[in-house]
Amino acid sequence: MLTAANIAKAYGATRANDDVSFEVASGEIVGLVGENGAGKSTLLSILAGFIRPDAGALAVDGRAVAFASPADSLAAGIGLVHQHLSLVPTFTVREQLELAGWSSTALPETLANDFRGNEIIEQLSMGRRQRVEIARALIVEPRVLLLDEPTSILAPSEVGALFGSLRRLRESGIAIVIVTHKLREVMAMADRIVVMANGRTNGAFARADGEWAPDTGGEILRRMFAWDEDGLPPDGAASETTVADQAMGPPVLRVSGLNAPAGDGSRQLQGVEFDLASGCIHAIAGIAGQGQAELAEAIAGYGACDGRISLDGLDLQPLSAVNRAAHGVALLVDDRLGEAAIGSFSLAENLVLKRPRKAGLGRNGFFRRHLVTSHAQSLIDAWDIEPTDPNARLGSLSGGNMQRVLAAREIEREPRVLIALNPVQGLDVQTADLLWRRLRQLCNQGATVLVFTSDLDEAMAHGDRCAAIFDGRVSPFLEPTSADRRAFAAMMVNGW
Amino acid sequence: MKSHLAGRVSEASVGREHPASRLAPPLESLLALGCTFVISGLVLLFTGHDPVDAFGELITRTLFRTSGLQEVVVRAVPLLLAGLAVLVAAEAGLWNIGVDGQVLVGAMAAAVAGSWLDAGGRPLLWSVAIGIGALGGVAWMAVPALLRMRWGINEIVTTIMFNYLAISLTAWLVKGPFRDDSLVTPQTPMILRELRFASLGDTRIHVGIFLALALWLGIAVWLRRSVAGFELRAVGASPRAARHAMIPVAAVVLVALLASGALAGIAGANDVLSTKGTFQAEWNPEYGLSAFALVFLARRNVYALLPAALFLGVLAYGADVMPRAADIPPAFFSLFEGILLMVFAVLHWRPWSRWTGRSE
Repeated sequence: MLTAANIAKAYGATRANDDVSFEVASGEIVGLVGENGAGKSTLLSILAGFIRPDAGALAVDGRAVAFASPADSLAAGIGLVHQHLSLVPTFTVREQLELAGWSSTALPETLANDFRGNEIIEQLSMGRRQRVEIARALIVEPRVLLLDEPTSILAPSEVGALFGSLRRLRESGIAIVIVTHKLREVMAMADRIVVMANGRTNGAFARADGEWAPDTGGEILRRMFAWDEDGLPPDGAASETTVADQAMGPPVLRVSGLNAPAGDGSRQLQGVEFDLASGCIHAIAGIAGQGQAELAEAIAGYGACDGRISLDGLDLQPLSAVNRAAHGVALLVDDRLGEAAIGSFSLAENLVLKRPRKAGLGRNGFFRRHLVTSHAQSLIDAWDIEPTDPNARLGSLSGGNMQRVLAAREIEREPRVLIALNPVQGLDVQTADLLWRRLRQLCNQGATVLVFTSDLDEAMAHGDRCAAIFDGRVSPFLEPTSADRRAFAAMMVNGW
Repeated sequence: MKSHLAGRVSEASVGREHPASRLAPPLESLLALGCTFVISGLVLLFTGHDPVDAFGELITRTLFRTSGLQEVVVRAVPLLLAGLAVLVAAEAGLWNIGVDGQVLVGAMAAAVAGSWLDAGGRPLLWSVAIGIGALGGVAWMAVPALLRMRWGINEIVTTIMFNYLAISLTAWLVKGPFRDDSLVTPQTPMILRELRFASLGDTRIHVGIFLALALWLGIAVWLRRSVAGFELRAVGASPRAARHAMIPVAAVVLVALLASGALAGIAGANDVLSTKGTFQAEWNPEYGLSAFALVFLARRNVYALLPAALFLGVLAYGADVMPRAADIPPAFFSLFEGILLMVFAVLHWRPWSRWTGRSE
């Protein structure tokens, strides 16, 4: 039905897709799995016509096609259901369908039994919105339906209904591709599973007589993380894993029974419990969106939560965010221009943006400008930041230099605990290296560091103790040894 | 996961957040002014006037005569104060469309306070009446500010609504409780001429100019140098970043809106204490639109507010003299300001902002 042969797509030096071949047949559900950055979104974008491949060929029903836009892809019979849905919130279901070209007075068959047509989109549950989105994608009678992380927005009870409706679509002869990182769900659903790792397809699995071969799950995991037979990564990154020489210090931060309700787009935290020892880097590995930001914000005091959080024996729960910061809680977030900094402000201004500010930079409510500038200058020198002008607009800096500014701002305060969300994601090697060294220095001064990352190898290479986060829960911390790799990978993808 | 699918959109929006500013703000303002002169000149042409003659007459009468210059300065004073009111809110990312109402309530409060205080001399009367005028503006902003702070209710809508309430309230007050019954026209008791703002020498310019200049400089320094002003600008630039930086966003919003109301109230007090001496029924200077034109013309630069206020002073005085001098109706000058605002809106239309500079 749909075949992609030898697809390649590079972004700079990064090969997002490298000689990828993929096909899906009529009446088949194919699961496309891989960890973050494996290249499955790139492949999906190519199939849906959002981006053009550098090399390779696409064919529908054996006829070669080339997509210059999503409209071309749609015209060739490929429909896409977006991860975060793309409906007009204030429209009724019927208006939404009419916008997409539905002209009949009756609703589409897939909706007719459960919808009246006059429901407002934004008043529907996520599961029902997704059904509308799928029905909309079916209006043009596509031959192939692509679904990007379809279960990520659904409540657990809604997942079964989605699977039911996808099975019915399969009976009607539509080819279905599900992109996901949730192994358990895709194994329940798919007829065939294609694994991607590092921009390449790394194995395909099919049911025999409707059943998966024994240990298919373990094998898929091994392929997802591109390990050899012993469970070691191919580049030998495991050998870098070092447990800190010094004895593990006393706990600095203690968290127990931490619960937080799911908010508007935020994930629920469920009984999070751990102690962070002084002198250690603690790494929590997890697929994106498992509650990392929510947990970090709960500890730093930005959101309300139940449970106990104490720093050096001091109960943090009654304290505001700024008081927690004054007692030594620092938070380095990953949305640099959206949340951590202001692009239109200067480097020096961003360095004094965050409360509590360094004493002595102001007097009687006014900044002493020469001190603010020299303060910025000293951090620029210490962190080797380009450009060296403290008055440069932060928005003009490269990602690596921006992260140096933000990390400098947190570490300069000599925190007792530094919480960092994906601190080196997407950064140049020098900055990443510098950052890990500075985090290690901070630990050596007796502080503790908690790093959230979606890269398991990175977590195991730099963390003295590692844990996984899945669906708002955090696994116990373990000292990383290569033998734990499979266990961690399984926990990241399936929970425990 | 969605990064590649969203790739096109996010690249474009990053470009919008940090456009290369190819046109400096002063040049952009001059370009906007040029376009406005051309468009409004066409309006003059189509209504049977010679635009070159008309604008020439305007410039001669306002800038090349001593009396004209004095009137321009006198009219620029309340405009500068109203512009500061809009600017303080705008720097915090808020739009105070309620300047008109706050001016009316501030003027009424100052007129009543001034007429009651006839003993104690000028400095006492001035400071009390200005203070009460500021409080009037604050009172008129209090409800929209609290609604915004507590429930995030859009201040644009509420401040507009409060303009109409202010018109009705002051109309009732001046025809009822605070009416000077000895006069035929409804107005508050006159503040004695010798108690009002003193003139400078034998000009029409009065000490209100020092009030406006002092507030202008004070606010400029406060916004640019103080910690609180810095935090206010941070809230305006990025509420999310301000929250992350642990700046008390709600308190900043409250302070910015109340300060904005206070400045508008002082603009109203200035009019009562200088030229008018009373609050007359049906009086409504409608500084709000001009204040917005002012802030746009100054490209939100607090220092540029002063020359921009003088320019709008030219237009305001033009609206007074041009009907007789060249048969051009006063409404033309409101039209001019309206066109100016629209030109700025068009200049900041996104596909063009690439060439014209910053987008809002």
